[in-house]
Parts: sequence; C-alpha cells; structure tokens
Amino acid sequence: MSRAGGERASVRTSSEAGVSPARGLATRQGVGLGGPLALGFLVLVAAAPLAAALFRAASSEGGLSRALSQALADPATFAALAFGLKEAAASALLALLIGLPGAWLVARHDFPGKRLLKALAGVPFCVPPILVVLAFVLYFGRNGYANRLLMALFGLKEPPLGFLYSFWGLVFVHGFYNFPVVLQSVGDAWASIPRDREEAARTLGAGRLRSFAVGLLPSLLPSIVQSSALVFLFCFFSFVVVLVFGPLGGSTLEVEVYRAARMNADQAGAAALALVETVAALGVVLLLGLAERRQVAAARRSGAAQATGRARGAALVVLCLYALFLLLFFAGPLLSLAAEAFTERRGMAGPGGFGLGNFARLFFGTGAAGASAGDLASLAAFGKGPLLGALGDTLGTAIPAALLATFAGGGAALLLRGRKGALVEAALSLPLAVSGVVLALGWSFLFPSAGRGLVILVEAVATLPFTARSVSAALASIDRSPVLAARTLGASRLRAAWDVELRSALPVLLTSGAFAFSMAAGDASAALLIGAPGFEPLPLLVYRLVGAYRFPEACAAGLVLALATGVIFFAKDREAFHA
Amino acid sequence: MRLKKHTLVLFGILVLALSGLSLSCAKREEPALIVYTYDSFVAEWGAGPKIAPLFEKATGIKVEFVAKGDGGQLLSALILEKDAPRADIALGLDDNLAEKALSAGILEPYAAKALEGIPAELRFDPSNRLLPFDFGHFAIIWDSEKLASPPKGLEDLASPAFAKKLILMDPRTSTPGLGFLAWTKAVYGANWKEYWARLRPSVLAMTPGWDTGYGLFTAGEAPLVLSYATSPAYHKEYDKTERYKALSFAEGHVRQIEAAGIVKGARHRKNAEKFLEFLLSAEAQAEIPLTQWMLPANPAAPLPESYSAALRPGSTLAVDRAGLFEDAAAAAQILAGK
Repeated sequence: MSRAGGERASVRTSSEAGVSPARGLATRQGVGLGGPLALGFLVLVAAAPLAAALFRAASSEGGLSRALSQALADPATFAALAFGLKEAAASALLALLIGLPGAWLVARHDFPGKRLLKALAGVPFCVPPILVVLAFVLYFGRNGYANRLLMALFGLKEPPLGFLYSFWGLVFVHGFYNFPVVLQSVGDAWASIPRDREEAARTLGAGRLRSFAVGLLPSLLPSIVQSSALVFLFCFFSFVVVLVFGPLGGSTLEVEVYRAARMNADQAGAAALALVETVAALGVVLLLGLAERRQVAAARRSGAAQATGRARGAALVVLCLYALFLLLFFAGPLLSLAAEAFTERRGMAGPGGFGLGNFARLFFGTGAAGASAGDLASLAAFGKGPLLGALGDTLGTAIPAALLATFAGGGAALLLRGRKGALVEAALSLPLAVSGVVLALGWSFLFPSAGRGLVILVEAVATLPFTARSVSAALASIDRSPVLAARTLGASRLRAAWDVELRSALPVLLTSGAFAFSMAAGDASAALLIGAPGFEPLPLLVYRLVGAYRFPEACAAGLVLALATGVIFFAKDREAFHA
Repeated sequence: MRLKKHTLVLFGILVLALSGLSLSCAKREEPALIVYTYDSFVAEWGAGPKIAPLFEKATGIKVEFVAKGDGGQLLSALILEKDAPRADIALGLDDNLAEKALSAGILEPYAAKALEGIPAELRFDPSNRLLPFDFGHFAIIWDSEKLASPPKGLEDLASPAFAKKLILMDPRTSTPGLGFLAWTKAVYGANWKEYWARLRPSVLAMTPGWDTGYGLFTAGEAPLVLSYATSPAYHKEYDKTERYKALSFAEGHVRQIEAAGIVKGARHRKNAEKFLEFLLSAEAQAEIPLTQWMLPANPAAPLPESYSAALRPGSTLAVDRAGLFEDAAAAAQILAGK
C-alpha cells in the first residue's frame, strides 16, 4: 500500500480542475448533517489503522506515553527521520528534474506516444518494489546489461558503473521510478494554463525567460510543489529500495516501525514510532494541501488554454533526446524485467535463451521449476498452474473493492462539495500520511480473523480516501449551471443531481475506479495479512515466488500483473480523452 | 436516456459486488483443525498442501491452514487472539521467536510420543510447548563460476580479496540476517563489533529480506550471499546445476530450528495432538526437504538425491540470544560507519 495511488488520485485533480464559468453560482450543498457525517466517515476510515495501533499501545503495559517518550529519547529515531527526509528530498528533486521537460513536451506538443508517456504514471503501481529492485539490478547492476555492454565495448575487467549501491544509487532509482508523477501532474496543469499572460509579458518586451518567470511560473508552481511533495512522501515511505540501494545500515522510520512490530513483537513501540512517522508525513501533506488550494485558484483564471501543435524544430530535437534518455534510464530496467520473464536458463545468471517456460509453468503448473514447455503432457493441464487462479482472485477482489471505493468515495465527495477549509483539507489529505507498514500494522490489529470478503473490504477502505479526493477535486470544477437550469425547469433536486451531475462526474468516477482498481490489484499486504485459505491474488503470488527461489517466474507473474493493471489505465485514459 | 442505462449497469455491478462480498463473508463449515502458519508454508509448492491430504488420509481429520504473513506476524496474530484463540496449532515459530512466544503464554505443553524420534539437540524447549519439525544451518553460498577461490571462514570473509563481494540480509528486518549476527557473536564473543567493522568493506548490499538478497545473488550481482546450507540442493533439483555451493566454515555454523505447538485454549485439542504426532512422523517429514528447503527434524525421513549438494556442517555453534535484537541495531550502525 505504501506506494498506493495517492499519486494517481491527486495527480488527476489538476487536469480535472478545469475552468468553470459558473463557479460563482455554486451553492453550498450538503448543508446539514451530510457534510459533517461524510467528513467524519473519511477521517475514521483514514485514521482507523493508526488509531487501532495507538489503541493497542495504550492498552499495553506502560501505555502509549511511555512508549512514545522512549521512541523520542532514542537517537536512532531522529537519525532515521533525518535520513528519510534527506533521501526523500533528493529523490523528489531528481524526479522533478526528469519530469519537467516531459511536462513541457506533453503540454505544448502533439507527438506519437504522448498517451503512453502520460500513462507511465501507472507503472509504480503494478510493479511491486522487489521487482523494481530486480529491474534496476538487471539493467544497471554489476552484472547488468549496461555494465556488460560497457565492459565488452571497452574491454574492461571490472564493471564501470558502480553507483547503484550508494546514496546516489538510491536517489537514482527513486527519481526514475517516480518522475511520471511529476510529468503527468505538471503537464496537465501546464496544458490548462492560459497563454495570454505569458504573451502579454512578451508583448511588453520581456525576454523569453522573464516572460516564463512572470507569466507562467506562478501558475505552474502549485502543481510543481504538489507533485514533488507527493513524490517526497512516497520516497519517505519507501522500504525495500531504501534498504537495498541506500548506504549500508541506513534506516528510515518505516524500517524502525517494521522492526519494532515484526522482529521485536513490540506493539507499543511500533505504534509510537508509527505516530512519529505519521506526524512528520502530515507536515509534508499539509504543504501539499496548501499547494492544491492555490492550484485551484490558479486554474480559475480563465482564458484560452495552451494550444498544442506537432513537435517540430527545436522541440523535435528535445523530444528525441528525451525519448532516448527515457529509453536508456527508465524503459531499460523495466524491459530487462520483461526480458527476464521470457528467458529460460539454468540458474538465473547462467546462459539462457528466449522461451515461454516461465509462463508455461505458471499456467500449467508442472510443479517443477525446471520443467520446460516441451515437457508438458497436454493442453488438458492448462489452468492447473497458479496464474489463472491468481488472476481470477485479483479481479475478484480488485473490481468489487474499486466499485465500493468509487461509490462510497463519490458519495462522500458529493456530500462534501462546496465545503472548504482546513478541516476538509486535512480529512482529504490524512490518508496520504499513513504509510504502508502502518496500514498493515493497523489492519492486523483491526481484522485478526481471515476471510476473502474482508480483504475486499480492507482494499476498499484503503482506496476510498483516494477516490473521495479525486472525485471531490473534480466536482469542484464541474460547471453547475446545467444543474441550476434543470432545477429551474422543474426537476427535483435529486433528479437534477442524478441526470446532470452524474453525467459530468462519470468520467472522473471511471478514472477513480481505475485508480482504485490498480491500488487494490497491486497491493499484497492485505491479502498477506488477512488472507483466506486458497486465496492468492497476483501480488501475493509474486511475493511467494520470490520467496521460493523462483525469480524468473516472479518476473513473469509481475509482468502479467503490470499488463492487467496497465490495460485498465489505457482504457481509462481513452475514456478521459473522449470526455 | 443513455445515462440512465449507464447508471443502471453501474448499480447492477455494485449490487453484484455487494452480494459477492456478503457471500464470501458468510460462515463456512467449521474445520476440525485450524493451523496458523507463515505464508510460504501454504504456498502451492509449500509443505502445507502436501501434508494436509496425507494427514486427512491417515486420520480422517480435515485441516485448515491459515497464513499469517511472516513468522513475526504469526506471533503477533497469536498474541492478539490470546483471549479467544481461533487457532489450534501455531506452526513456524523459530528459536529466535521462541522466547517471546513462550513468555507470552500462548502455548500449551504436549509431550508428543513422536518426540522420541527427534534428536535431543533439536528439542530446544524442555517444557514441550514448542516441538521442532525442521532445521537448517546458515551458510555463505558461493557462485563458483564468478569467483575462483572462496573464503574459508568468517575472518577470511573480511579480507580485501572479497571487497564488495558479499550480500547480507539486514539483522533488523530478517531472520537470516539475525542468524548471521548470532553466528558472529558465537564466534567472536564480546569482540563481535570489531569483526563487523572489519567486514564492512566486503558487503555490497544488505537487503531487508532473504528474497531480495538471494535475487541479487542469482542475478549475478555478487558471488557470495548469506543463505541456508540447503540452498544448493534447490539448484541441483530444479536448475540441474551445482555451480552454487554452500561454504563450510571451520569455526562451525549457526542453526535455525522451526517449531510448532498447541495453542492455549485450543478448541480441537485432541486433533491438534494427532496433527503434531503426524507432523513429526517420517511420512510427513519426508515432504519437508523439497518444500521447506530445510532438513527434517526426524532423521528417519529419507532425503532426496539432490540433497547431496546440501552442506552438512561439521559443528553447530551454541547461540546466546540475550540482547540479540538490540545488537541488530548496533550491527547496522557499524555497517553504516557510525
């Protein structure tokens, strides 16, 4: 859950927050009990896991206060906090540097593959962290494609690229993993900013740079701050990547919570550390909320939006360079993961060739990792393997969870529409500040008994705040005049909302549904902690495969997971496109 | 109106989803025995799916395995349900977690008859609340195609010849990592910190779990990795290669023992006793090597041919677990250069 879709959910807010001439007419709705109820519901849902952990700590011997003072007295807590802030800041900065040129390209130009570039933001969801680590290792590692190529080219004995296992290696992986968030968020904001201010500045004699700084940057800044704050949070909560590539022995608060809870069985200590972590993250989230509010204000300035045209001239050169850059540093690692899935070899590092054996074993379930496709007796065995069942389990939980989250989140957003203020802001932002490990910790306290239905419920609850967030942002930008017109023409309030608002909200509902689906489909922790017998969705299958020496098959299963969620993202993008 | 059709369809799906949810929440038939275990035990290729039908055939009792994440999460779940236990058996608590499990008072003693067949050195809990069912030694695995001459012992591992050639697991987050720390403490005693400082240049990466670390190793990132002495048997069985070898260190190796026990207040105590007897029998123990990749606790169980590649260490070091968890943080600090 740690990487879950805060990015996606909030990223959309910028594109959805279009220009609304009728905003002035917007009336306060949901006056009465609806608003506060929805607010309370959202806070409860977001804070439930943390609250459960804290309650657990409070009822332990010594209580929460003792655990908290112990955590605060420990210098390791502050060292972990400082390291987390440092690596997250550096990572967010790199993601910004990589994402901004792309944002300019997608905002101002049309080119083949533009939709693919924007849809890349889905990648971090569907590729579990351990596969991200393996992807970068397969490509940039000491025995990776890049090093082997360089060694062959220059006749070197030792791999020349050794930066991966260092602070900068960690920042590198984080930056390239998260830049699509910046690209999409800033790109969408850029595309919706009217060009007249910049042009006015140029007309008044300002230079290119100055007209950008005066005319564009102020309107762009909120989306820049917003997206980099999001990336900052994801890197702050990062766990596997930080420990593998970061400096030896480095620690973050996420690691400390995990250590206290799982290794030391110290539930009070874990809860206290979780509280410290959440408070630190909430600070960042409030910055994000502030930026978002300014962004809405920025979007309100009306005028002609950016005109896009085919990339040519200098832009074409930039586009080609950028494409090459991404191919080398971003697509390379992910493609090597796919290549690994289609490779058969004796021992993972041994020589291998193209083959479908990994997929065959996942479909046919020969039980033996060494069996090849040729050994399979007949097609009758199709479906005996774990893959089809895992795909079914994934769809069977992620689809109902996404539907539940979309309807409940959409309903809460509808009740909250028109309400502004710090409280609403906090209610909508709080879920971003609760990390994956803390969520897992809370769930294991809240739902100790097993059940498939419970997994659906937990996934829905975990994604609900994100759907509420994106629907709420979209509703704020919807033109209200048809609703008012319909009511003037005699439609009942419900009827008007039904016919008109739902119609305008449908695209964003579908979008949120797609986010929720990806979040639920990509999450292993709920299934792992409260799983039912025989229940094995794809992320859990990947987790079990890597835990059983079966890395190539894990790559294959990861690829299927990425495709399953990727298809939804493309479908979603098309939907938004037509809307 | 197209919109209405759209919304109707959406609501239809919602209703379907909700009914599906309530159906799956509905009470199922109560199983005759519930075993809480860690996740990999119930995986398709794990020991659970192999042992359950054998047990049912032998006794007619249907067993239900419930996966509770990893060993630490398993213990947390048992402690949480202490007052109203759902589980009859806790399976997969290792000797590192034993002290916490025993002091939490979540287990009941059972002196299984089958214990007579288990070597005394494996029976670490004299109160018979935790019964050993498998074990494995920690060892450094060597990729013989990437490195000509392997290290001969812990001290050798710290020599400049192996700079950035070793992948370890973090003692703060993983069982093998903690086992390696216990290993160095057993060999160096009070001077273990100095050893870790000497070892620091040899370590390429310290991963949060065994899976990531072994993944890096098989991807060719480093020729040495911390794992189990039985790891080469996997590669012999499925990859048909013996390039990966477990190194025998002269000073001896540290052992991890996994155990099972009856949960205090178990509702199916008689069935639980039958299960433990069966688990320790040669029939069930024969399933352990190729599913758990650990050695069966019962020496009467036959080992598959591929286990010729597994290392059987000459001597097993005694481990003092006092303060081990606290030392894990100190060890990480030393590697961080503090």
